[in-house]
Amino acid sequence: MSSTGQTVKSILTSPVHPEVNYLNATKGFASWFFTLDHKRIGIMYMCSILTAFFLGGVFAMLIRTELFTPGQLMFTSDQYNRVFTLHGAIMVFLVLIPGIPAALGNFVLPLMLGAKDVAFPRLNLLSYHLYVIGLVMALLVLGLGGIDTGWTFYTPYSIQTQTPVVLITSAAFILGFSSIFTGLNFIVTIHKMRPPSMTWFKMPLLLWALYSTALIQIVATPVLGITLLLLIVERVMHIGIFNPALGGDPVLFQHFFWFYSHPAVYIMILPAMGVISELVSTFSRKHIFGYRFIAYSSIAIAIFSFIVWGHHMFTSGQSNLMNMVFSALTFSVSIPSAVKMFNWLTTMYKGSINLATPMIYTLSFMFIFAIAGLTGLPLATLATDIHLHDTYFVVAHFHYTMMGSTLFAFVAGIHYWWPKMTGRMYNQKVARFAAWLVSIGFNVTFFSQFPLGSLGMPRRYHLYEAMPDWQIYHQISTIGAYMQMIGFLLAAYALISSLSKGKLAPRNPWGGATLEWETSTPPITFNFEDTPDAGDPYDVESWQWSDEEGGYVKVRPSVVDEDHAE
Amino acid sequence: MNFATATASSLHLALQEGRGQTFWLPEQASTAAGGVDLSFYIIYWIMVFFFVLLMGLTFWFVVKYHKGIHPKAEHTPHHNLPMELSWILIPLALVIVIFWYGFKGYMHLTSPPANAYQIRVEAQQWTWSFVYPNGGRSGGKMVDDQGQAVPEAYLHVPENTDVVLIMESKDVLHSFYIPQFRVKQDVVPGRYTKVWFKATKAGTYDIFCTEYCGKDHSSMLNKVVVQSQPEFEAYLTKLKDRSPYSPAENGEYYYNIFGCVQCHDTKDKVTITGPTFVDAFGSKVNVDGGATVDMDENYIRESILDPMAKIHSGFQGVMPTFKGKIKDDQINDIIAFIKTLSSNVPEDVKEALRQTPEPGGEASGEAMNVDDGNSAESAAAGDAASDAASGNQE
Repeated sequence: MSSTGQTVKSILTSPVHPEVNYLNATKGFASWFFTLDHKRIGIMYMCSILTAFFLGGVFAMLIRTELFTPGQLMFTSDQYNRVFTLHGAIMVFLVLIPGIPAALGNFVLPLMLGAKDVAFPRLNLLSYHLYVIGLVMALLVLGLGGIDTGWTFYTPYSIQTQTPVVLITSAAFILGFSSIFTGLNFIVTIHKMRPPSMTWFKMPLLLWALYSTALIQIVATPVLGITLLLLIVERVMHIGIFNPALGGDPVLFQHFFWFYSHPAVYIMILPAMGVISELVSTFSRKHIFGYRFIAYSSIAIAIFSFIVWGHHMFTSGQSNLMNMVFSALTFSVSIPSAVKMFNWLTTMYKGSINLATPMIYTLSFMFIFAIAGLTGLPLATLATDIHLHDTYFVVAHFHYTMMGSTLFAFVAGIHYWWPKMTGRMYNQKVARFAAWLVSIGFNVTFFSQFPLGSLGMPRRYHLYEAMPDWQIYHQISTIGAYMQMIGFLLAAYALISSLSKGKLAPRNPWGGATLEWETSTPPITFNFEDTPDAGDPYDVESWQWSDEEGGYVKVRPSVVDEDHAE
Repeated sequence: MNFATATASSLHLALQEGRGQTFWLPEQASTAAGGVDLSFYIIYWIMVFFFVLLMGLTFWFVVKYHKGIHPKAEHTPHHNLPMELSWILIPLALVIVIFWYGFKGYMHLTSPPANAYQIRVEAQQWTWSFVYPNGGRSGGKMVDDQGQAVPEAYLHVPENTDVVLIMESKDVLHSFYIPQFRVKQDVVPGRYTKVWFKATKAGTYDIFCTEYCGKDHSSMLNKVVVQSQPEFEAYLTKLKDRSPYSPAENGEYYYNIFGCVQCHDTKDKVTITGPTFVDAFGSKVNVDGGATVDMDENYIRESILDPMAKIHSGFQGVMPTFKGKIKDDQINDIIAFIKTLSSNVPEDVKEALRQTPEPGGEASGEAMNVDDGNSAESAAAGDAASDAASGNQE
């Protein structure tokens, strides 16, 4: 926050804290639950997703606690299997997939476009209601004793088990529609509602990421939907599709399942990369480096994501030729990911780096994503994957990707947009401490699982009495999990207590140059009094720090910098 | 440079045939392990290099350009094509190299030599069993009720010999994994999958199931014993010539190796997954659909060959069929074993079943000698023949 001593004058004339904003415009449960306002839907999504995250987190802690000892501690094997299945299913379908697009995307996307709302507000509300139905069904499954198939529902075990598979797959089916509707909405909104001055290559990179994500959501999700429907048909009507006892093929299920679920990994990680692209630029006070390559790499990842699913099946018995092709194609994903990493890094070069809470999470994201991406290499490589497949090495790798990367970006985004969402600043000291605790705890938890896996510990094991040497890795992992738990609770405390005790937030506390910072804090119901002019979304120098405001003020229109233009 | 030395010495270590456990990888005990580990360490050092590069720069930038030290950001170009192409093309070249090494190692892992020694593997919830070319069987529970190891449960293979396992599953997906051999292959119901290896070091190694298969997935363990050719042959002969044992002893043996032990208690009269065998014989059983049947020889036989025909009320119909896998004499022995567990059977009958037949007499253990062929195919043919025979009896 470089104070120049001079008074800086804002060129924006709208009030910073209007009497009436989207939070207090109308009151009552129905005014929220049946609202068409994308911001309120975004907030409701965020609360629901964080509730699901809490639930999934409780299961995570139960798993880690149980594994502290090689033998049975609290659960029988049957109970343990239900706990890890619910942890996976809740985290994937209710937290990570909707996470950034539905919560942050809903709030931010129209604001970034200078638009009043998404293209189809009613569809947006329906998407949220479907999510709630999915959440309630998941809770119902929990009430019925849970399921024990693993979140992947592999046949024929998912046909044999007596747990309520039909109910949980119906929930996933409904959640799929929720996801499709969000994607559809975003695609149309981005195509049709950009302000006249915003060309495709003047869009913030988060919008490129959300657009790429939306493509995957609407193309891949129907495949999961129909696969789960086929599974239900097989269970209920005993028609042989995947069950070999009825003439079906269990490996076919894996193909169908991963045809969605691999792209789903990119539904999680692409918007996360988008969030990081915004934050790195803002907190380094620098224009993003290599805008076009980052934008193209999002599209490239979306396309490549569809042709690599077979790398989940190197040991499934699919042919050597298929394995060879899928291994080669899988490496293609590593290139656009590397491009993003290097471009973020170069963005920081010669910047003025502000280590506020969102930036701490951003830097941990980069640390974690580097490990996540690099440990993907031995898993894409055929010879080494045969050894590592279905061991804790894979567990560690996908937690680095799905939790350490996606979830950290989600949390970074919440901390970044929180002042705009709620109008309040949270306690930086507490939140920053929490961020360090979560980051260190995360690495303690999951790094120890890499050697554990490469030494041979299979995943989804309740007992490991036969291998006492493995206990130390599990114990380190469990200690890390408790660190994370304390960190997350502390972060939640910092955010929630800001609602009553927090300072009033300025228009732009961090100095981001995208359009959402030009509106009031919190925004008015229709977002902007006048449609804002879109310039270069990374012209961060158009905003300067003002001591008087306690935040950044816009000193000139953002323009494309001719000297350094693309 | 330290980095280069570390790389070289770690690659050297990886290439050493049969080295012991390191921080990252278990002991090497097969011919495949060296190639896999070479790929692993090449990738490992590439990972370390890039991680140190990326995080070193990040850390340096955060320290050098922190706003306390560097309050004003400097203008730098927004893009630089040669630089951006370099971090596309260099990683691309590296991943092509990685792919190639991985592919080569994989071809070795999945191309069994034509004359490899064949052993059949049957996986079921939650046991492994192994059928040798001479018809001998091992498998089942590794530890008995007294906590004693059961050596006949293990898979035995000869040292320095190409061995191919032809695997099938009786129920759900399983996966066969020996970390020290660096081999893993899913076992899929309804098709055969193969895994091969050439074990280089005598010793005992763990076998894990790595595909989640239900309740006792984490207990679906076994061991592989690598031994010299003469020792292995002696073991095979022992497996084949188990007789003379009493029918009850043979029944208990089959009860273990066919995996009945995983679901049916024989000691404490408790329910594991299926009904207990204690005091079962001679009782009345309520079956799904409301009928009551006698728990007798016919019910046991039918339950083994067609488990879904009459499901014991209160239990899930999860038992796989053993039709085509088990021979009539083996069923008879299991029935004998179940009889000896029941108080409904007169003591003198039970005593007779526990009698070891005279050597040279018609021992039920002879059942194992039916197949005298020495390949898996002829063992399978033997199974089929006995299946046909049992069909005739019905």
